[in-house]
Amino acid sequence: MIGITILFTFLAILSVAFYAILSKDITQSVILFMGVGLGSVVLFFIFQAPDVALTEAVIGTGLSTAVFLLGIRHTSIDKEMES
Amino acid sequence: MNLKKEFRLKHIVLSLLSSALMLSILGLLSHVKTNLHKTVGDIVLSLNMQTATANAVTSVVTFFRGIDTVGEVTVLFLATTGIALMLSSTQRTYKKVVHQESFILDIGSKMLLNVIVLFGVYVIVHGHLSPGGGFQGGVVIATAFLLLFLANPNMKLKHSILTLGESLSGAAYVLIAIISLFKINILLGNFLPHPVSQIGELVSGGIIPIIYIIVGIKVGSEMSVIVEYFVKEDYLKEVPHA
Repeated sequence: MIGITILFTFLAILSVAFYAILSKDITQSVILFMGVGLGSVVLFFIFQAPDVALTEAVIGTGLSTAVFLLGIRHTSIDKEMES
Repeated sequence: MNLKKEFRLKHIVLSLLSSALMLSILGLLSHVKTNLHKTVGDIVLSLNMQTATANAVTSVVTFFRGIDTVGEVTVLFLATTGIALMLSSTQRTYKKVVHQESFILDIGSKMLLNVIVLFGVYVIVHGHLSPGGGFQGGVVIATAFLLLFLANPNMKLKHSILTLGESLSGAAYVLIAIISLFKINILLGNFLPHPVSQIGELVSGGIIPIIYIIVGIKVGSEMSVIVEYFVKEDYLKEVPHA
């Protein structure tokens, strides 16, 4: 049972990661990258590493996504000002 | 959606190959599980009674690999310095953002701030008992400040207090290392009393909770400054220069 959960989480992470690479919209890409982090949180927790799971949940899906989104907003405003 | 246009056979083959890689890793894990001889984890767990912390990861991070933690904190400090140097080169004249805030957003963000900071302090203080510690708790506190900045753009952090806390905690970490080197001849050794009978209590483990509180203050102030720079830079660009 736990093996099936692990397998499906791996496949979900892989598919989300491929969509993140293939998508043209960079905001969509960042949100999908957050999905990769969420899947890794589940995997870390199953493999009995709650410390790493907490770190990934806080940094990988929380702070880094916010910083990425702020950076995207910043650079896209620059482009509008140039044109 | 333009996702379907990009989906070619090459990508399907690539994803299948990487799935096969993951499956082989799973097979490797089951192999490890059946052949439990003597891994590094077992040795560390057998030595964990020396440090008298309930969380074995904490004793690795702050005791067995203490000098690595000093290096990590230094790396984080350098990253913060680089971001501050890069983003503060522009003119730092913030204009008041005319922003109609709703009452609920204002009060709600301030109430949530208390709860999130309390959770961060809990994660820091219970670092030697439960999963978590200085790094995680510090980032939790920084996300609370991120929420406050997003809800209220005219907010300002007091940089004098943050600088004081950051530099004092960094100095205290090195000071603890030097004191333990002189006292028991081990760098970052546990020179305070840490009886094994007190394992699992809040005040136990000698200097390990103190080190985690210091790391929490340092990481929290650094991450808050990074978040403030990013949010403020954003609003700085948004307001046209009059």
